[in-house]
Amino acid sequence: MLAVLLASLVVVQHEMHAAPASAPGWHVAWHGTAFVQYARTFGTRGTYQLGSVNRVMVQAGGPAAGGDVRFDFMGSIEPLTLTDRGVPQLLQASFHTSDGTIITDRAHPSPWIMALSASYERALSEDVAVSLYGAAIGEPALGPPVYLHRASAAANPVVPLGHHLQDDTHSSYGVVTAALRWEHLHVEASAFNERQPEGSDHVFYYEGARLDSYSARATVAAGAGWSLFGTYGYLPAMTQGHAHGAQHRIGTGAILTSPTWLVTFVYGANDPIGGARTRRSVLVEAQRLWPGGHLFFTRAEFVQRTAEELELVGSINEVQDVGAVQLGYGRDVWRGAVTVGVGAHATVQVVTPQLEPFYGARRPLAFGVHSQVSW
Amino acid sequence: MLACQPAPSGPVSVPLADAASARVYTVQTTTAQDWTGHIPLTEGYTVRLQVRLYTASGREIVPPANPVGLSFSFAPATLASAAVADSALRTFDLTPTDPPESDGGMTIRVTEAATGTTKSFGPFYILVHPAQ
Repeated sequence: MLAVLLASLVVVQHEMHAAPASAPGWHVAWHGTAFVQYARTFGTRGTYQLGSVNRVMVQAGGPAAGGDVRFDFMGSIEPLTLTDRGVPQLLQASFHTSDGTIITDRAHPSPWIMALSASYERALSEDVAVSLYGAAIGEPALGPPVYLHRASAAANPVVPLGHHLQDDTHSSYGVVTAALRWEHLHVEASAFNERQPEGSDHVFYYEGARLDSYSARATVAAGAGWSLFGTYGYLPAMTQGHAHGAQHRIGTGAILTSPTWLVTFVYGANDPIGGARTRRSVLVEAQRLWPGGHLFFTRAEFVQRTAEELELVGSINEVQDVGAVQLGYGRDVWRGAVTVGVGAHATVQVVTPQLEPFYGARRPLAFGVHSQVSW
Repeated sequence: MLACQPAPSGPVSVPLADAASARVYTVQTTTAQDWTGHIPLTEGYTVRLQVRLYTASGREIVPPANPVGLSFSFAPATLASAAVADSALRTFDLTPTDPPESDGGMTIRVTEAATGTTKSFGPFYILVHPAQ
């Protein structure tokens, strides 16, 4: 029971639909969500898009070899529904398409497959369990649970600006994680391959793959719905997608899961090896639920962006302090085999004076309206 | 594709005053490589590079509305030398003059004589590598 509770707090925070499988004690669970949305950004770099942010998760598991085995799959068709240019979002870290085109002020589409993994957990006593996780594509024990899995972001279609300082390793092409649960403490250690392709053409990407990135995370179930985590990772220099120099990544945060409030606090920082200054990010994200299917969501962020991430090397100082405050509302309009909701959100970004010419204002705006279908 | 959005903006021909950023590309390889973030020079070799100018919205300025000139400075001053190859194409030849393992920055000064506009971009990071 403890393991299930911790797993629900730390790893996957979705309501998943479940059905028994043919083997005794085995089950299959699934969850999918698709936002059909109109996203609009304003200012010098403003643009719009009618597209869809989406993902589906399938999980199968049951008893085996004296423990519990679980298989996970997570996929998306965003390379089609957002195109390889991704979704408009001011100040998001730039990326390259497969043909080398530089894309700025947009969030890249999720890859076709984000998780393809297996795990085995075995209880050693009532309070102690050990587990082993292996993923062809998966999430190492680094940073907070990725925003795609956070209950506090379940109704929010926007990618956090701090993604690349917090949880951008969530779809790593090769991960091994060992973990120990002891009462309210969960300790994990991972070795993984952080190499990412450029563009969204690849389903699998193992060019030069090595498990040469390392991370560890400790999580404590603190009671009253709170869990606290601390995390550290070593990431060697990478080229291609998610390119960066060798760096340490540290993070800490807290997650509240209650019937009405879902809240996540995250501090994440990349500490480049070799002298460049540490870059920091802070995120506060919440979702408030009311009877009748009404919900309110918000996110506030501070991020230290590099000129390279904004593709403005040589035109601005190396590091820029930027921020964003988002408010959103959603409401379920139909509940059945699928849940259909509608929502809208608005974001105020804050940029430095140096960035003002590139964005047309110190506080450029963005908004989105969407319908969310979940099953 | 299942998304509706405006097509990417093409290049624009405007005066230098509208240039907000610059990037540095190689011109001698089959596919131009973006060396904006890191210019790797090899001891004893000269490389031809191109300065590309962009508006604040990210549209490339091709060609500039008026002819522009280029000049260069380095920190440290002994790091490298540069000579304009074709000012119309904004290409220049860059040669390291400090020994391998030296590094520093290059600043590019772009001047539009017709309007008297001058803009500086940089520093662009340079690292000198030993010859194989």
